[in-house]
Parts: sequence; structure tokens; C-alpha cells
Amino acid sequence: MLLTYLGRRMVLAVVALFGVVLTAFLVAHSVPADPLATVLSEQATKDPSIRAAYVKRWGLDRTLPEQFGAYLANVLRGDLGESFTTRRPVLQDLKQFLPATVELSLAALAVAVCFGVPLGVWAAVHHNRLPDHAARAVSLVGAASPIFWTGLIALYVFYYLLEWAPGPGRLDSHQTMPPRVTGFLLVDSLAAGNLELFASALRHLILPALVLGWFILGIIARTTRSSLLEVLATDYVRTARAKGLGEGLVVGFHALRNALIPVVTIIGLTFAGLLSGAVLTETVFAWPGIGRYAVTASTRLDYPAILGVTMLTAVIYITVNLIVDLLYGVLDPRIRVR
Amino acid sequence: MLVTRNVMRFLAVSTLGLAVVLLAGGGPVQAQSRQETLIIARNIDDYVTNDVHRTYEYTSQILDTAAYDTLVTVDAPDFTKIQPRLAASWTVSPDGTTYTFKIRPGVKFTSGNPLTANDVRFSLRRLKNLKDNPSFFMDPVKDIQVVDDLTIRIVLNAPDASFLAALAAVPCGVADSKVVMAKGGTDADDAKDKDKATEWLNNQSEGSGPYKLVSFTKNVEAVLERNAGYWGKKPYFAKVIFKHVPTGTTQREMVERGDADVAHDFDVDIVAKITQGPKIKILEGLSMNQVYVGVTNSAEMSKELADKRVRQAVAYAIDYDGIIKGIVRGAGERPSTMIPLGILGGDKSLARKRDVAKAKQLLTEAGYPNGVELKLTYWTAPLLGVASEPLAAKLQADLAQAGIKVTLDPKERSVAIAEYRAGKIQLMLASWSPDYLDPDPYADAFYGAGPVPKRVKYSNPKVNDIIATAKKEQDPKKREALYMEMNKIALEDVPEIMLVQPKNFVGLNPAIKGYAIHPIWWVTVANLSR
Amino acid sequence: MPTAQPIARPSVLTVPREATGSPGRANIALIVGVVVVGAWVFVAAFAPWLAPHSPTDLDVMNRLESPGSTHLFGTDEAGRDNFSRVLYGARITVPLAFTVILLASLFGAGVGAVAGYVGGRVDEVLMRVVDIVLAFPPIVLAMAITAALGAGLRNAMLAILLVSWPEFSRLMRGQVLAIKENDYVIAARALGAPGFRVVLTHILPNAFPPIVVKGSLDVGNAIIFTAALSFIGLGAVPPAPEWGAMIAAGQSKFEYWWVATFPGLAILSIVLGFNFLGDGLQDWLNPRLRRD
Repeated sequence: MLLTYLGRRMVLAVVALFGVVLTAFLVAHSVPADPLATVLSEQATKDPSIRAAYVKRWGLDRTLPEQFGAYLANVLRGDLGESFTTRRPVLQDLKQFLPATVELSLAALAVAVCFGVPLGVWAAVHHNRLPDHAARAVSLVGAASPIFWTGLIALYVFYYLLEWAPGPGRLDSHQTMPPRVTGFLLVDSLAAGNLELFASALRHLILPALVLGWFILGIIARTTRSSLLEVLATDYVRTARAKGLGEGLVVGFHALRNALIPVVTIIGLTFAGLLSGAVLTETVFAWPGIGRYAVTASTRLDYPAILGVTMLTAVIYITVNLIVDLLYGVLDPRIRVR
Repeated sequence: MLVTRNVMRFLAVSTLGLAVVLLAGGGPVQAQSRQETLIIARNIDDYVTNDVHRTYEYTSQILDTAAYDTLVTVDAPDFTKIQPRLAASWTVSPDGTTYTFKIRPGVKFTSGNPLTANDVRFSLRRLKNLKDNPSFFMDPVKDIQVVDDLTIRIVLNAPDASFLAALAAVPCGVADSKVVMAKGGTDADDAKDKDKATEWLNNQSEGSGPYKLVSFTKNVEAVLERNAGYWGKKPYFAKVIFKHVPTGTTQREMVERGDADVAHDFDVDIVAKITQGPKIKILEGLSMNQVYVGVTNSAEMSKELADKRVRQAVAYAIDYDGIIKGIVRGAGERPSTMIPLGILGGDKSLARKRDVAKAKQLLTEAGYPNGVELKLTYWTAPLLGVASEPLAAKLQADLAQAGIKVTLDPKERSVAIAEYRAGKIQLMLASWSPDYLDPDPYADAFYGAGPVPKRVKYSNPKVNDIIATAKKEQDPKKREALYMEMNKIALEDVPEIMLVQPKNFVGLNPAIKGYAIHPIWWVTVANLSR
Repeated sequence: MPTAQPIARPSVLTVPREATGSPGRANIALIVGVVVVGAWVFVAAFAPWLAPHSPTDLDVMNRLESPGSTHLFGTDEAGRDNFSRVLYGARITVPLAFTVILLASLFGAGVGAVAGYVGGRVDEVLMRVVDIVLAFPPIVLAMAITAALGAGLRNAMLAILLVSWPEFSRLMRGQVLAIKENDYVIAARALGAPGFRVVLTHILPNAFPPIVVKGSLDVGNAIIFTAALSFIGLGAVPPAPEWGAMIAAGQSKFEYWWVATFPGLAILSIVLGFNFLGDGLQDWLNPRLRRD
């Protein structure tokens, strides 16, 4: 049963991945200009030998289905074209910039969980009273604010006016990156034994993580609250109370443990939202991740880069989803039967 | 309640932890290395290339003048005085056509190769034969002869009053011919098609200057490191980092917070809000830069603009005073044509005044009594100290009053520059900075054999004649008269419309010493210290 | 079902909520939502009469003036009245967001209804398409589409439409699947009613409440989305008074804080309004709603 479920999920994921590449291909072909513009910079399109080589590689002189075949083959080989902006293979660019976004997203998630779960618990325990309303207000405002706007204001207030946060970027302007091990500054700086860089990287992470995380914080707080409220009304909690267990133990242990299951699911699902939010947060905080890469690529009409980022983010999302589903399938037997 | 207390404790600890990390940092930073690093906050997305013999943008000029030496140079305080750099001395033949330079001995490239007259010849020929934007600097040159290792002779087609000034320009920098050739470079006549060294030179320099370009990340930063084997005075800063910071506000924040030492993209609005003091100092001065509108003359791009009367109508419709008084709050001048004030031939007296009625009349004469529709392209980054969006909006509003309906077409800078250079524009709001300080490059660049006339498809043989004659003319008074004649024709033909020659504003950390705003390449970083 | 959770992307208010209490108690959320949204719709409709100045009239001698009596929200970098621009911004954003979500919900719900009702192969294929579109982070896909097609509000609308419809499909399909097992539907089919009649008269009326709730929440998201695309430079073309573009213009000179702050507050308030509206509608249309 489990294997069938796993197998089915993986097949679906592969189908989705195929569809992702197809979608990217279709978007590339909707550009109302020289089709070579999607893989080459303007200067290069004038050089006949370069043109010829690209036409061959991307099958541009053949029928559309054959072109897609060439495209798919190239993508599977890891050839996503060359970015006009950086003049490097797009895959190389993505490898360079992805860790920064992941680091930021994880930090934002950490912030959201560390503040969101307690907030949700607090709201549930005092539900329909002031703390509940306050928590709801926080999450509502968080969901309704455009993230690039809150980022701007946060940067101005906390960096410039209050001088609490450090400036844009992952490190101070004069500091150089530590030797790259994972691409995560927090890890790499520790690996290099450089505590100063570690501290600087951490400090630079806080404000963008807070801005990015605020939106998710609201969702997590509300999910925690609702889920906890449901659980608190159940029989086994009433039993635990009747048995005379202290309230703290009841809520903090029994109830919370079960209430957190949907929260974990939500965390998995918000990851896609984090990627979206990262795009705008990175722009405001000059964070060198794939979000900012995507923005500069789209304003510069750097089509290989745009399509590369688009496909990568979709692949990440499908992978994360797959993992969450597989875990769920392992944890909750009811799912597998469906 | 127990739960609430625990929750509150958890929240409190989290917040406290966050606060501690935030505030505790920013302590005594690697003091030494920050001291010796100069951080310049600047919008560097004007990048096209750092190849010294192709460079024609702003940021690349600062980088290449630090990395490559020219034979001669110009610097503060008198930017019209030619000073020796690679050339220890030089002589000019009595007929003004032959220049002989004695190169100073002992100069080495960053590769270790010694600099000889061969490298000079290679570089100047490569500049000419790449046929890229700055190639026209070498148009007066007939022949370049290597006399011996340290002596080079340049023969011109005709005497040229501005030639020494041209040699001081950044694209005339001397590159290491051995390394460049090893990377696929060539100075042969077909260099335009065969040269392959640009990719390499975009990311590291092969020069002999006080600094070396060690890394360039587009839209992120450029890093110069001190050249250990430099022949001249050792510069103070071991490292110069150009950080890409697109907005003026952030640049200001960084300087005031100490995260940057210099800010290059201040405009009047930002400066108006700055209080000078221990955190930041403002330098200002009239620049030699221009903000202008390129107007296509090509019927292919715009049937209407191909007619001179329509172009003149556009020129008459603009509220120039409003732009100077309002958009730049008075911090700028308006020469009548593209030759800036401060250069021979720069003039205010002929400057066109706004006349909406005349504009309408010209349109009617041209056959457009109901007006025309045009597209104004511009890039969204600042125009050398002038904000582009409000200026474009103002132009749109001005022209509307004369019946010219303008659609705004903002683009990211690299995309806009590419379109402009390909000539695919109708009206182009753009900026310009000096090639070198003489009227000739301006005349060529905008009206003659240079790049902009190619973009707007303008060509007037009469103007070309005047430029050629003025090039040879040795008497400054006669030269000026010739350029004034050219100015009159330019105002008639309207290949470009001059809007403003703005003031330069630079934000500085007061601890920085020796900063002088250089009209051509912004600043000679080698002169700076803390 | 491809995932355990039918909701692919959580928005704040589709998480389970407890009942708000006795039927007599006022639905505050709905009231607030209707008032705020109604106010903005009014502003959007009557901006030309409400605004003291034209949104595009510039006055270069009074650029970046701080808020005062002549200019309530100050002026922007070209001397245009910020207050008028904020008001006119509603004229751009509100109709655009409404239209996009209306089309997205109609199309998406249609696809979902077909998939849910017909089932089998058709269902599999349609849901795979939905999965694929949902795999892209919406803003990245929208950026790719607008970059391909060119900047401008129309292309931005198209891009947002393309990324918004799939979730409606999922939602509708789930609803249809649940409802079609109900007795009255089985009875109707047993009596020989044709498929589409069954769908129209029996299934859809019961299925649409969550669609309406999601729709109203999504209008808020669409507003933020449009502003985000304009902020990057891919949406509105100047000098259109679009809120996202105004924020972008104000960010480069944040000392003149009013240029960017007021449009942001406008977005905040209108999206809050739609969130309250959705919240309130959820309570009103199905007060016993738990997990979807």
C-alpha cells in the first residue's frame, strides 16, 4: 500500500516536472521577437558563427515539437542557456545564488515559527479576549501589507533612523565572503572559524528575515490557534483535565503535540509563499539570491535567466511537496488508502 | 497561568536574543582593513564593457583610468593642462603633425612584462581598429612608429589642436600587448571581427596603473586592488570597492552610517535633505556632463521626425526654464548645443527659448495641424545626477501643450542603452559625459563622425566640413568662431536637444582627503586617502 | 488527490475557524469588509470628482512638497498631487483586480467543476495541468510572462490571470466531489436529469460559497500582485498613478517619505477590507464551516 502510494506520488511529480519544462518552453516562444533573443544577447545574434551554433543546439530551424525535444534534452543535461547579464551558464548562476535565498527563507521560517507558534498558543489560551484580537490584528496586517513596502519602511526605520540593523547585503560592504562550502554564510563562516563574519551574517539576516517572515508568522499563528482550540475541546483533553493534570501540562504537552500536526503541514506549504516573498524582499534588501536574480533578469529581458529561475523554483516546489507528501504518507496511514 | 508564563518567557527570550545579536554587532570591525578600503556607493548598471579600448560608459572609465596608464593625463586643479603620465616628455614638430614621446623607463604591467613602445603602438592601433565607440579618437592618426623601446612617434594627417587632450582620454590606455594577444586580442586591421580578448578584459585588467581590476560582478560590485609593482606614488587605499547601490537614499544612508565612504549619485533632492557634518560632507561643482534628448532624423523610425520642422517644433515646445528651475532646482546650466559651458565653443547666447505657438505653427507647416504622436525612451536609473522619471514626465507634459502626444517608454538601463545604440528610438532622453576636454570630441560625437549621429541617423556635410577645419585650426579665436557656426546649424537641424548641464554632487565621509571631482572620470582614486 | 491537503496555498483566512457564536451576534468582519471595500469602490468610481487635482498635472516648482493644506499627501517627484494620485490609483487597481479574479474564478471553477463531475481521465488530465501551474511561485511565473510579452497593465493582468485560475479549480473540484455524493444529486441523476442540468441546478448553488470567499480574498492578493509587478517595473507605465509604481518611485528618495508611504497604506487598507470581507462572507455563507 505504502509503495503504491509512494510510487504514484513520484510519477505525478515527474509528470509535473515535465509540464514545468513545457510551460517554460511555451513562455519562451511567446516572445514576439527574434527567437534567438531567448538564448543569446543582442551582440551575439549578429555573429553568424555563434548564431549557427545556437540554432543547432536549440533546434531552432526545426519544427516546434522537435524544438521542444531539443530544449528538454538540453535542460536534462543541465544546459539552460547562457545568461546575457552574467555571460555564464544559467545553471552556474542559479547554483551561486540559490543558497542565499534558501538561507533567507529558512531564517524567515525560523522567525515565523519562533514567534508565530507562541503567539498562536497565547491567542488560543486567551481566545476571544485581548491577546486573541491583538494576534489576529498582527496576522491580518501582515497578510495585507505589500512585502516590498514593509521592507522599505523597515529598512528606513531600523537601518537609517534607529541605526539598529546593518545595511543592505549579506555582509558589511568591506567584508569578503568566506570560502564557499555550502553557500550558506552562517555555515561557511563557522567552517572557516571566522566568528566575526558569522556575527555579521547573522545580523544582516535579521531584518530581511523578519520582513519576509511576518507574512508567514500570521498564518502560523492562526493555524496554531485554531488547531489548538479544536484539540482543547476534544475528549482526551477533557479527560486529562478531569484526571487532575496541571493546565500547563495539558496544554503545553498533550494538546500542543497534536495541534502541531497541521502546523507542520502549513509550514511545508508556505515554503512556496516564501519563495515568492523572497523575490521582493531580496530586491529591497539587495540580497544576492535567486529572487533578485529573477527581478534583474526580467527587467533586462535576460530570457535564459528568467526561464531558468522559473523552472528552478517550480522544481524546488514540486520536490518540497513530494517530500511533505511522502512524509505524510508515512506518518498518517489514512492517506495511503485514498 | 503556567502556559501563558511559559509562552511569554519564550517570546521574551526570542526577542531578547534577536536584539542582542542585532545591537551587539557593529563593534570594533576589522579596523585596519576597513581603514584601507575605500567603498564607493554608486549605480554601476551602466556597464557594457571594461575593455579599455572599447570603454564608453561612466563606471568603466573610473575603473580603467585606475588600471591603465595613458601617455599623458589631466587632473586637478587645472583640467586643461596636459600632464605627463607614461610619457616623461614629448616634442611636437613645427608643422604640428608629428608627436614624439619619451616613455619613462622601468614601467611594468601587472603581469610582470615591461611596458615598451610596442605596447603603446599595439594599444592605440587596437583602439582604432576595433571600430567601437571610442575609435574615433584615433581618426587624426596617420601612422604610429616605434623608434626604440622607449620612444614612440605618432604622425597625424593634419595638425590637431586637441590631440594631446585625446591621448589623455581613458580609451587611449596602454594594455599589455603580450597578454592581450595571448587572450585572443589583436590590433590588426580586421580587429573588429577577429579580436576575442574583450571577455577576459571585462573581468580583469592588464595594465600598468596604480590599481588592478581584480573582479567585476555585473550589478553587484567592482573591486580594484593596489598594483604592487606600480611605478608611481603608492596610493593610500589597498582596495577600492565600487558597490552597486541604485538609489540615492541608500547611498546616503550608507555614507552616513559608515558603510560606504563616497556616494556618487546624489541629486538636488537628496542634497536638499542632508545636513552636512561629521557624518557626511557634500562636494559640488558644475559638471561637464549633459542631459539631452536624442531626436531621430530617420524616416524609418519616425516619419514625422524626419522632417526638420517637426524636430524644431519639439525643441520649441520644451519648457527649459522649468526644467532648470524646477527639476534641478537651479543646480545646472543650459548651453545652447551639446558643447558644454567651460569648453571652447560652449555658449548660452544662442539657446533656444520656449515658444509653444511657434511649435504649433511649425507642425502645421509640416502638415500636422492636429499634432503628432511620438515615443520617448529613457532609462530608469538617474541621469548623471538628474532623476529621469520626473524629467520625462515634464517633457511629456510640455510637448502635450504643443499638440505632441508623447508615450513614455522607460526601460532598464542596459536595455535602453542597447536600443539607443542600435538607433531604435524616436526620442531618447539620455546623458553624456566628456570624452576629453576639447570641443572636437563633442562636435564629432554629436554632429560629425562619432557615435550619436549614427544612432539618430544624422549627417550634414556642411557640419562635417566645419568640424574638419576646426580640428586643424590653431588660433583659438578662429576655432571658436567655427564652432559657433556649427552651433547655429545644429540648432537648425536638431539632431539632439540640450536640456541641462547639471551640477555634480558627491557625498563624502569627511575623513576622506584629496577628493577632487574629475570632469571626465569622476575621480582619480589613486589620489585619495583617509 | 495528489496531496493530503486540498488547499495548496494557504491564505490567512481559509484556515479553520470556530463558529463566531450565536446567530444573533453581528458579523463584524462582514460589516467592516463591506464598508471598506465599498468606500474604495466609491473612490474608484468617483475619483475625478473627489480628487482636488489631476493625477498627471505636474508642477516642477513644487516637487516633493511635504503634506500640507494644498496637497494633503504632499507632492511627488514631478510635483503631482499625491492625494489625487492615490485616489486615481483606485481607478486602475480596483477594476483590474476585480476583472482578473472574476475571469480566473469563472474559468477555474469551470475547469474544476468539469473535472469533479466527469471524473476519470478528464479529471486526471485537468488536475495535472492545475498541478503544473501551481508548481510555479506565482510572482516568478508572472514575471516571466510579462517579460516575454512586454510591460504594461494588460500583460500584467494576463499574467495574474494565468497564475490565479488553478486554485479555483482545485477548490471547485473538491466541492463538486463532495456534493455529488449527496442523496438529492443521486436522486436527480436517477430520475434522468442531464448532466449539465444536475451541475447547474443542484451542485453549483451549493458549491459556490467557498469560491466567493476565496474570490474576495484573491482580489486583495491580485491588488498586491499588480502593485508588486509595477514596483519591479513590469506593470504600469508612467505616468499612470498605479500604487506599486508610486511606491517604486518613492523608494529612491525615502527622505520624502510621503511619496511611497501613502500608496502603501492605500494597498494595506483595501486589502484588509477584502480580507475582512472574505472572512465575513465565510461566516455568513457557512457558519458551521470547519475544515474544507
